[in-house]
Amino acid sequence: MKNRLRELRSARNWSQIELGARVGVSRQAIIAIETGRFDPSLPLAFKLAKVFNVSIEDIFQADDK
Amino acid sequence: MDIQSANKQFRRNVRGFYAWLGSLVAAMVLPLVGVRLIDADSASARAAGVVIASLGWVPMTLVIIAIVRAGDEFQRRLHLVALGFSFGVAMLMISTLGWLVRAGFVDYPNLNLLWAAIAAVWVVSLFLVKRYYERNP
Repeated sequence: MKNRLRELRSARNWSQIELGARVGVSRQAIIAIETGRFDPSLPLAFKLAKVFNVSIEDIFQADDK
Repeated sequence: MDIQSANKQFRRNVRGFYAWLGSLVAAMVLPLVGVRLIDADSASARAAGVVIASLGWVPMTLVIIAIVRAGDEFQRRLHLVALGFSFGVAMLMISTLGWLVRAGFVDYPNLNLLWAAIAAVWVVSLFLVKRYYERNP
């Protein structure tokens, strides 16, 4: 799954620690999501969408293979 | 993060550190106490020695469970993958040693050495899994 997390976070000048604190996860979790190595659960995806005030589809897109 | 939740987090981390330290001390001291009793003559003292030496790892096991439970979904994933990998390696090590003993290549291994090796595999797995998830693809 591809995502725009890094782009959205950078646009708001938030650090990975700050974003993690806003959604209640560790910096390591944010790093792993941004690098595409870890797909978040649905509740976490909803939290991320809420803090960025966008829909989940605006952050995450399925890989078309 | 506001100052109140930062303080709360800090206090939780300090408690966790002391719990970890205490469990480490128990894991080192209780087996030593147990060994002294195991060397005694009476059966009851030896039985108590076995119980005390074995109980040494209980606090650390509880602390590890608490750490995993307190982690977020990503940290739980790390622990799950690391534990799964080390469990597989442990099975392989034990079964290979069993066959080596049966084939007469080696004597029965010291079980204390075996669990130490398994614990080392677990720590290395945790480190490698963490590295894998944090590096760029």
